[in-house]
Amino acid sequence: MNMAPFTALSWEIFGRNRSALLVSAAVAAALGIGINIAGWPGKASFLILASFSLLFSSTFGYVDLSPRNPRAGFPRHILVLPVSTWTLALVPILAGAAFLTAFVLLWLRFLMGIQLRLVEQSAIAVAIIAFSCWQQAMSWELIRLRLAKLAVLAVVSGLACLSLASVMSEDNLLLGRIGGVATLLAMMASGYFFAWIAVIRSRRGDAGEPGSPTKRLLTSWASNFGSPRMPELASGTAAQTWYEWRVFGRLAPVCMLFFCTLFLLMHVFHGVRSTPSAIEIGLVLFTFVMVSPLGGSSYAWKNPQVPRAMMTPFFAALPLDDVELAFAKLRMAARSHLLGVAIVLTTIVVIVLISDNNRQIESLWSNLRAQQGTPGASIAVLLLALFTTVATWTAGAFLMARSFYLAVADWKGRWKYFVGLFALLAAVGWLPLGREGMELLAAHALPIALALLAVALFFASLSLRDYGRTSPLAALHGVLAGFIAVTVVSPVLIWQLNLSAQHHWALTCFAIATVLCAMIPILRMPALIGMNRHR
Amino acid sequence: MNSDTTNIVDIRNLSRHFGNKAALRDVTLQIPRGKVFGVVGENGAGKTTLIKHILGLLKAKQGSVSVFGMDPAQQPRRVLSRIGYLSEQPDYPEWMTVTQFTTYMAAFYETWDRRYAAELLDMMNVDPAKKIGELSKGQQARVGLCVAQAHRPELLLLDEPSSGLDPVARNEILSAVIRTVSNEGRSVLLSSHLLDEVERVSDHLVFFGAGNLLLSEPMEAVLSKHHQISVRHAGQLAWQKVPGAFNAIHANGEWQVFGYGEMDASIHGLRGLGAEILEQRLLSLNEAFIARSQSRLPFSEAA
Repeated sequence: MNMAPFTALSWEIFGRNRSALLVSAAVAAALGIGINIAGWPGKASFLILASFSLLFSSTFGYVDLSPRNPRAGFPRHILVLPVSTWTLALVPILAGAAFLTAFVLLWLRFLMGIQLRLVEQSAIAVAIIAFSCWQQAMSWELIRLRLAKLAVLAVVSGLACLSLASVMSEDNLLLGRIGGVATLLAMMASGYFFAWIAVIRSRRGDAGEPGSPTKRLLTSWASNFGSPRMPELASGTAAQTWYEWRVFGRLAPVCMLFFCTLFLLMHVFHGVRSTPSAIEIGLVLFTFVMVSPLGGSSYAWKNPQVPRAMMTPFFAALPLDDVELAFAKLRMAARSHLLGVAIVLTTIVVIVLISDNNRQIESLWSNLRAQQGTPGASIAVLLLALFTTVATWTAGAFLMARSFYLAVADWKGRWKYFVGLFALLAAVGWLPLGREGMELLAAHALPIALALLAVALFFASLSLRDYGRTSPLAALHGVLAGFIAVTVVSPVLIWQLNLSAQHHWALTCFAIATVLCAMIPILRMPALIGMNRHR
Repeated sequence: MNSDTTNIVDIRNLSRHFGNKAALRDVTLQIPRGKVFGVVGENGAGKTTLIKHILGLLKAKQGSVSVFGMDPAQQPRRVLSRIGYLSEQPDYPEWMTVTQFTTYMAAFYETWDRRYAAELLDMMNVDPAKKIGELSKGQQARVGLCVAQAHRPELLLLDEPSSGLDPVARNEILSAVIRTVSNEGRSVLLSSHLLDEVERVSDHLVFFGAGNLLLSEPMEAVLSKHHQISVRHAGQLAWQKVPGAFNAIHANGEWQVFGYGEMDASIHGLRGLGAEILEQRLLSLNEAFIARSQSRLPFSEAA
């Protein structure tokens, strides 16, 4: 089979991600159709669209994630092909942008029923290409520092949203249509230029290397800023906890900081400020629910790109007992999770305080108070916060345990373990509701069936032969597990919040049961680590 | 058995299978204090599997492994705190500087000697301010050698250390380290492909082949017993009947017979078969290894 270089590269890019893309697309479609049939509001659909867009965007991140390479970057084996650099940079960007654009436009048209004009469709496509260019440039080590990469992407995302809002606004707001189009085109051109530079640098071997004295100084300053003085390590457990925090623990809080900054940036722009606060808060919570469990799967690995939770000989040979290793990991995860919760709560408070449109929140609060009285409503909100924390922690702990388990168990073993744990989670969630729970099930049979379909797809994806080799697929599992946790528990939660005060016991039982569920993977952790360590 | 036992490692009838492949078959081996054990064998012979069992990274499923009188898989902390380990492919955290790494490692070992660690780094010419990821493979192996022995372990396990070390480090530093450890009454288990290195530093040789422990003898005995006898013999030579013979090569009308044991007995046996002795000599470890690797006769039968 003879292919042109452009076609061959495209084939390779789609080929390396085909499992992740197929599963993600299937799950996205199932969720979208389910939401449509259930008649949920368009905002929910939009949230799903945004989440899967982020997922697809990361799936098409064209980087070599081999754990043996000291630094991720443009795939090295591609660099030696006799293909021009501009083609090497262009193909991954176009492949990702084309897929994402098609996904977004199809979703908007067929699932949300939004008719867009050609100019609006084009603006969306250009915004996606612009973002893809910058995202790839960053992942190809145009800049070495991770925090700087995040900052650039945050600015690019904010600017892209602003420009898109300007182009699509009826009232010629913000930058104005011409300004919006010009900004998008400029972002696309500059993004491609920098992506091209990044590939050139990768090709000649100086990607990510500090060059001039000024750059070296900045890099050194930023590195020192990012790595505070090493603490006194009194024991092996303290040393391991410190290590776990430095390598894994900062991931979820940094992600939350990044997303919350984005939300706050969006909030301060005039055009976006008109968005009701409740939606913004929902977005923050939703992001946390998605990101936090993902941290769980990452904590289990040497680094997020390592396909399996195999403990390397160096760590396995550290003189610590299995329980101490598990304790260090869990302590780091709890600290990381609670820091994420703190960031989320702070963001929500800031959004509420600086918003000039809190009518939705006031209305929600009034309704809740009318139904349950002030003490009941306060308890309900507290329970919501507690419940979000516990549910996301459960999903995170579950994912961590799952990652360790995957390294030692065969497929049949995995299946039983997952089915058992999820069945237990679902059962303890629904049982306290008794007869009313059954009525709720009967009333919402279709969305629940679709949620189960999503669960089934998730499990089916575990059987893929190349599972674990594709990091986007692992990322997808993380996101899905979070989503499933929410799918299982959110109907109960929403329903409970609307019940009268006498049903608080049910929600309390549910929260306790969820905590107990979280204990299963946590208690199992030393044994799982032992299974990995002493095979 | 307590921790003061003479044999710090006691392996009995250890077998291990990975799928259908036998990685170790009924291995029995004791490592006493103060000895340097060299483990040799082809790729996949079972050397690393043996070391992983000693570390407790593999649990003994058939047979038993006792290190300092304890099961390393059951009591990893107590066993591993007395072992220094350098793996074939060091996987140290690349984001740490060498100083941070030694500080981190020091927290795990009560017996960690900071001054000795600094001395070792200095001796190995490693810049402590550099990040591990910025060091070359050889330099990383030097760091590994330093942290493996800065707590003065009672047992130093070196799994193919030479694969990462450059010739200078191999010849000078590794030998010096092993001599120091041995002189202080501690033990070393060195697995290596480089037989000259094993021959130079080991007191005792352990020879693995396809998961079988083919030979476990003091190095002196190994070197004084492996021999090659050149003979002339018309027609087929029934060399298998010669005491100790484990391999023979026929070329240009001459037979090269390789044997293990008393050379006189082999000569006597060959004369008994009507062969004319042309030359006889002892083999170097390298020659013995090659001859044994080419032999299809199990060592036990040959012996």
